[in-house]
Amino acid sequence: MNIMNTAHVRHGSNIGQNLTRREGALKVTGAARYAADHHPAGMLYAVLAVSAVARGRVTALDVAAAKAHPGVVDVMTPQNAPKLAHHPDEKTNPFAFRLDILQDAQVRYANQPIAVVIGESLEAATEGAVLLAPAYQAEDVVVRFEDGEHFVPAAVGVGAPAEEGHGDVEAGLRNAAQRVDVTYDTPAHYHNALEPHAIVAEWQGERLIIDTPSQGMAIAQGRLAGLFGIAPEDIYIRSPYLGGGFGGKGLIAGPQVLGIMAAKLVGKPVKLVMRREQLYGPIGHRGVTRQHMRLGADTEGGLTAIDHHILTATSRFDDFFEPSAGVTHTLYATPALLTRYEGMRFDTGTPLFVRAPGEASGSVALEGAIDELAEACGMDPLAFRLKNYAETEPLTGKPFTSKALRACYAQGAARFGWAKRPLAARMMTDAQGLLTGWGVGTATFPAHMFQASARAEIRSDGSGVVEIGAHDMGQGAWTALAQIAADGLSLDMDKLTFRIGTSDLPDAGIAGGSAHTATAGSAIHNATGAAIAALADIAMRDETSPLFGAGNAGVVSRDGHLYRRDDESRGESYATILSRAGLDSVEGRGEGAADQAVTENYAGHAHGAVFAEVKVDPELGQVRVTRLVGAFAAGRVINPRMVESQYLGGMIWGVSFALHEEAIMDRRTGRPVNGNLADYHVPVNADIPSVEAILIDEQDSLINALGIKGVGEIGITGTAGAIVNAIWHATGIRVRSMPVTLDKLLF
Amino acid sequence: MRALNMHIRAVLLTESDMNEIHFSLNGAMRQVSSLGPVVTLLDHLRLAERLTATKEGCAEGDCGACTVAIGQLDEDGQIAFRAVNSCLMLTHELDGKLVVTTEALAKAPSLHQVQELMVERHASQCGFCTPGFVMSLFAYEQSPATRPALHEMLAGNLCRCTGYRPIIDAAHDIAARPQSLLPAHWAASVAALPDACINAAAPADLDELDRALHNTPSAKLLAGGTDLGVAIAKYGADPGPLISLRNLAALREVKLSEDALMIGAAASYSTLLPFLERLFPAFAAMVRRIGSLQIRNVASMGGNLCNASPIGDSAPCLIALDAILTLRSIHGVREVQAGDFFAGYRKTILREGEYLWRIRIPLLAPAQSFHTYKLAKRYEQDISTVSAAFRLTRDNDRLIDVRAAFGGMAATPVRARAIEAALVGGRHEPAALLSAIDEDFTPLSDFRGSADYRRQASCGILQKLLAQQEQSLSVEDVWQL
Ligand SMILES: Cc1cc2nc3c(=O)[nH]c(=O)nc-3n(C[C@H](O)[C@H](O)[C@H](O)COP(=O)(O)OP(=O)(O)OC[C@H]3O[C@@H](n4cnc5c(N)ncnc54)[C@H](O)[C@@H]3O)c2cc1C
Ligand code: FES
Ligand code: FES
Repeated sequence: MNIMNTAHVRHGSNIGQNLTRREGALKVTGAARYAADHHPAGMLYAVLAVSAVARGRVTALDVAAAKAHPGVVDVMTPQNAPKLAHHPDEKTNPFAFRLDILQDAQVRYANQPIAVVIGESLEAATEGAVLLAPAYQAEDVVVRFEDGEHFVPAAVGVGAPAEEGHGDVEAGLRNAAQRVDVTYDTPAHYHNALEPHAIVAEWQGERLIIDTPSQGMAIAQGRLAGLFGIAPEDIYIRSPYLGGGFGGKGLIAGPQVLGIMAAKLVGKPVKLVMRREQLYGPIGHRGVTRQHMRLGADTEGGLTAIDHHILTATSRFDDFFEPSAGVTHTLYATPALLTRYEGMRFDTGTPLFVRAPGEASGSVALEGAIDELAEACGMDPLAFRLKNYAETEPLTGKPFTSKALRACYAQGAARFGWAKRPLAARMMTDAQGLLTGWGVGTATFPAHMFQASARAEIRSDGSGVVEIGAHDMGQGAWTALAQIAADGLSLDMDKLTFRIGTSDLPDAGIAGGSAHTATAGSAIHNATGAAIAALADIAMRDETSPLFGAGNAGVVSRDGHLYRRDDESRGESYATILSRAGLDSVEGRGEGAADQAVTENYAGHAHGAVFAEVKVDPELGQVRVTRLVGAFAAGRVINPRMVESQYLGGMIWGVSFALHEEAIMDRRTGRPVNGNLADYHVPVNADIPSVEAILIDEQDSLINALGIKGVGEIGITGTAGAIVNAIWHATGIRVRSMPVTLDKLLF
Repeated sequence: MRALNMHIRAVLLTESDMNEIHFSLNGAMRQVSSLGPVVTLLDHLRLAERLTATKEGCAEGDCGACTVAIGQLDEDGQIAFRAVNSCLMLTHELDGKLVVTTEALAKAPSLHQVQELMVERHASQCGFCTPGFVMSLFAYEQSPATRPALHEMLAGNLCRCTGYRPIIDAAHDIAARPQSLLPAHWAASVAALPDACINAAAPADLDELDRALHNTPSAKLLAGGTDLGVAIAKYGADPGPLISLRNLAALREVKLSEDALMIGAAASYSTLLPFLERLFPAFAAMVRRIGSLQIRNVASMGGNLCNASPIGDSAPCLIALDAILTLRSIHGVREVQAGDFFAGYRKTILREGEYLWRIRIPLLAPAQSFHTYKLAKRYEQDISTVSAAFRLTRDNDRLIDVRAAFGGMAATPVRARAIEAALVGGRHEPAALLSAIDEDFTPLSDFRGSADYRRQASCGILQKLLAQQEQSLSVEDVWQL
């Protein structure tokens, strides 16, 4: 695990430094308190009772038996659940997904909450939930593509068109010298952050105080304010540490709302922690896809057309269609491009964002199909990708804000030793007789920016304060954003008080879409800039200051001082300026958002290349990834350790996508067959090969002032494809249904 | 498991019995009554003690977020630690032991070296798995003489964020360092604990156990509690009265005689491993892939057999090795062949009031060799799709006898007689092997693998076995990449 050629661009004195995580000591000692670790005085325990059927109605609940159990305080059912200000099925905005919070007796998916038992102890509440002994009227379910009607959705993802493209795809395919026409299947995935969703909720009159993991506190405030008919400011959320998010904690989920309702019902603080198996239903998942890829290439190996058709399933009661086409819009140059979707309705919870939503599933299909076309053309798969390198964004024709993908290919390939790869499949065997194969995949993820604001303050003692309601789900916001803040104020980290993780701080937007560092970082950059400007303004107007009248020449900040730009011998400390002015502090506020002029005219994406080596046992079909090298270019690196850690973690999700993860639904009952961590596999340490992430230098002066793109999700893309392609190279078998488990490699 | 905590009462206890259980928590004595509801150590820590460093990720032994270190005094007064899943451990089982949680490691202002290295190596992202890893690493650091391979030590801890590399790096650092000194009051606190609580629910000799089971025939024996714990947690089973085997040293004995290895039914896999390692390396390799270190530190072979799962991993080995099981009850003792122990899907031939006392494995003759295979979707911490064990006897280069047994191919682990015949008879081409497989088995399809995969993979196993014979490779290991 080396950090090679780090994009170690030092900005101020802090950005670019390889600081270790600032809250590291709190995490290793267990002092970092996660939502479920809270215990306000007088707290009661709430336990969910969830549906054992996937579709139908609850016809009976033995509330009396549960209530009679010693220690049970109350049972919340549709009969007595607190009234809400609006119906949880009301679509108030594109991010308001329908929730199941005891509005009626209907069941829409397995593990849907059907009651909440509140007890003095967790035992009592749990036992109460068992005593409810629900009865159901169950209806037939659909959880497979084979079993229902397909339709064209109005939109996919969050408001993206269901059909896009340009050129004549049919003509491109007709005239192609080589074609592939293949279908890739990807299963449903559940986030399975190590921390199950939890909430501790307390009502103080009309004011609501909650501890809950959130990747988007302001959005949660808005949703809760709407549901409970109170002002967003009256909702105080604390979420300093998340035990993993991966999109699952982006929007407040039904069970969290139920914890709040339970607290309201009993008039006491309530803790509700979901059990692992209850997570397979009400909190979203990665939707299942079937992707039909038709690609053509001319005699030189140049693409003539890509047709990417995606069949994906949403729930029966709400719309979220896994937007798998994004990668196809951005990766390979082609004269004709068509991406289109069909949808289906399953009796499951509504799919939602799971790390690299759309990109992860789309990437496997595209990278697999591209590899198959390279094979058909008799070309090395890396040479084929370079041949079809997109100089402008294929869908829109826009230039990229920056794109160092060639460097990623070159450095990744060199490090991996790609040049020695035999062209044909099944050519390499190791000393133990294991088939060995090498594969490549291109990684890509859009460089999003959302909306954020921040507040910065410079104090008369020379210290600084930066506040932003940012979220740290493990990616390192406590550290990386603080580095940006300290640089923004030209202070050392130890002079900075940095606050994130509560909803009373300025809105940092959602920590998702790999956009948090860019968005919140830009807000911090602007807020700290504004604070420095305010301070400079005071000094320049003060006749006794050496900076008096610096005016057009301007001042620069360094190390807690301001200096004249044209004469750095003239300067003074922040403390001096403020105390002379008789001020305790100056403040600056700033926003972070995408520059519209840039987004209209440019395409912003991070890129990477992943190289994988696999070994396959020819008799048993067992597959092992033995080596992974990823090279990624994603703009400025704020903290190489954090960034490397995101890449490695992302690549492991790619391994998991290719070999392990799959939610299996019983087609008769609609219940998850493997809804637990024993049977829903995520890799254990021995599944993880030697992995290396190379950080490729990339300067981007357009994407935002700091030049930051996102790094949190890109690692999955490319990786799964590289592995699947390596499995083909080892065995000669194209497995097009994820995950590649041993039974799919029967020889 | 807490759903039914209230139901889990001990057997036939009266107020006059010895009922108090004592353990040391981070050096301070704790007392719980065995008459009260049984709670898991995880619940005790998080709910009663409000020690929240120890996390709950699954409550069924799969994730390791709840890992704590359990210490016991050895003969020299030193504390021997092992990592366990606190979510599967009942507090009663802690009688006389020391529990160490993450909170107790750091001596402010400095971190424990394990914690320090975890920070230095950047081994946390979200940090939810971190306390569990810290405790696994601590138990490892504290037992330099019996350290397993790093990947084995970490197999019971899942991390969804980091991709493990930095954690493995931290583990490498720890492996290279001397073990840290323990606070003196830890050992003292254990030494000062009152005598063990011995009663009908936790008998201390076999006769007492015979009587207790005779008086409460519906009682279940609690060995490591890993199967029972999951049955309760996952399937909401009410196990009824429990008799703990924790005080029964006689059931945990592992002895080597001239011609056999004798294993007490309740001996943990971790206790057994050094013996297996020496005598039956392939069996040891199989055991090392059962569950995780946390599981093996408490789980027993007896529990594995009595649970009678079709995919229990020790049964095929014992069947192929011709092991003899000794069953015992108040009415006496009887012996059965391991292969005759299973009566059907999840059923054994144990009679009311009868239990498994010990397992006798005949040692290999010089002309014999032993081989095992475990196929699972995930490398570690995974239930077998197919497992297989073979004892081969050779006369010079000729195979003269084969004992073969498979798991995952039928309702119980079973001997494969047609396969044995095919191997001895030299019918080694794939078609012949497949037809022998079909004669022995009609496997089922499930999410671990299709029936056809199971057939094909069994054939793959046989081919691999034969190929390894021809190349006279040493095949002492469970097949692994
Ligand atoms: C996370 C996890 C992973 C696992 N992975 C594997 C695996 O890979 N392979 C595998 O084979 N197993 C696996 N298991 C199952 C389990 O660990 C083993 O079966 C274990 O050996 C059981 O031993 P125990 O002492 O914990 O049994 P317990 O749970 O204490 O007992 C199991 C059953 O046997 C009965 N019993 C115990 N001892 C006796 C006795 N002496 N006489 C009569 N009855 C008795 C008990 O009453 C109970 O019904 C796993 C379990 C978990 C939780
Ligand atoms: S909580 Fe997951 S192993 Fe105990
Ligand atoms: S750091 Fe998040 S699970 Fe390990």
